[in-house]
Amino acid sequence: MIFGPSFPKSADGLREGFYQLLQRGYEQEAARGAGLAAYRSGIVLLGALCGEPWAQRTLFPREAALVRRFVAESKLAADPEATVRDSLILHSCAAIWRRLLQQLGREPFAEVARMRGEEHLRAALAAGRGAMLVHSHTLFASMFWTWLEHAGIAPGVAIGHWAWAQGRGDLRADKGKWVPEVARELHEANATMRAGGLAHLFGDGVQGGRHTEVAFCNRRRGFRTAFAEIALGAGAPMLTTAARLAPDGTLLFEIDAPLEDDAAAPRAERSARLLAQYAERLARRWREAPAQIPWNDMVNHLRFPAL
Amino acid sequence: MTRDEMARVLADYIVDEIAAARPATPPAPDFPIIESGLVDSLGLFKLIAFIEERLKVKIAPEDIVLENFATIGAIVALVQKR
Repeated sequence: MIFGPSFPKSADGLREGFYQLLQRGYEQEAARGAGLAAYRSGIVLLGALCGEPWAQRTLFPREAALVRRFVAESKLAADPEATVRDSLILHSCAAIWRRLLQQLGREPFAEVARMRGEEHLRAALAAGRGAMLVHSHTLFASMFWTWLEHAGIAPGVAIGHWAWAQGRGDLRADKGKWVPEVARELHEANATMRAGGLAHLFGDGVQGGRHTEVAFCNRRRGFRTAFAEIALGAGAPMLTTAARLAPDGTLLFEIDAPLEDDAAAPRAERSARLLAQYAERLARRWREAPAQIPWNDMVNHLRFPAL
Repeated sequence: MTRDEMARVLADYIVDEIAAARPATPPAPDFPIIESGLVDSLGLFKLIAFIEERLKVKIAPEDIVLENFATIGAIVALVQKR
């Protein structure tokens, strides 16, 4: 397991109690050997609860308001109330279900997980050029590593894993630690891809000092071109990915066709075009499934200047 | 290549290819290129690739620490040790 579970933080005793009851229920069911059954049936309870206006008002008032504002200001054309309900369901269950899904064996995992576009990854690996998998922050993105494990594919290098493992939000301020550690990950990712392996990077990570601004979901938002620059340097194709949990509990993964690159263009132009394609694909994902976006990413997005 | 020549080659590369905003003067050998923000993580990765290609020196992952890359002088010392 690369990324671990975490609960939404709250100083609200009522909500903490809700999470504890939920977790205890799942653990009791899992102890009785009903892990997958509990997983499938739990969504019914959550769906009923999180769709209730009283539950939204008492348990999740700030979050429900955040999701409504996010949908409106990002101009996602999604049904705000359905998005609020789904977002509450997914955030309530994410930590527990991620842990449960990570513990499933290959066959039970295959029962609940679907992958579309695996052929793009297999083709890249077969060509021996490695691949850069460009992920995006969604609630179940970390489950991609579980899928890789069950598919028998070596995970390679996850750029940003060191920072995540430190668990400190102020890490970027400590340049003396941050810069060499991330550079080392980039160096290892480059070597891994040149040897035919995988590298991973979340393309919608922290904006950072050096970024390229694009129009994105009604905001002027900066993205870093690091994924493109590293992959171009290694001669590896770039594959965007997605992971989401459907209302019936099915985990849906997607690997898209490689981003299109014009090798004859100047390097800076190539990076900019690749970034624009990534942002376009990410915007499409957001429009299709806004409830999969973590609340902190919604907050971050709303901080960018409006178009 | 002498130490001074190597320092100049590295300083020119940082100014031309890495620095987000071109500094008025190339960084001196004792200038803190990382702590000052002149070189970020992607910049350091590019600098290491440049060193490996141009100076024909292999940088091991365990060498990528602040002590070896804090200044151009420190990088020159690392390269000369290899």
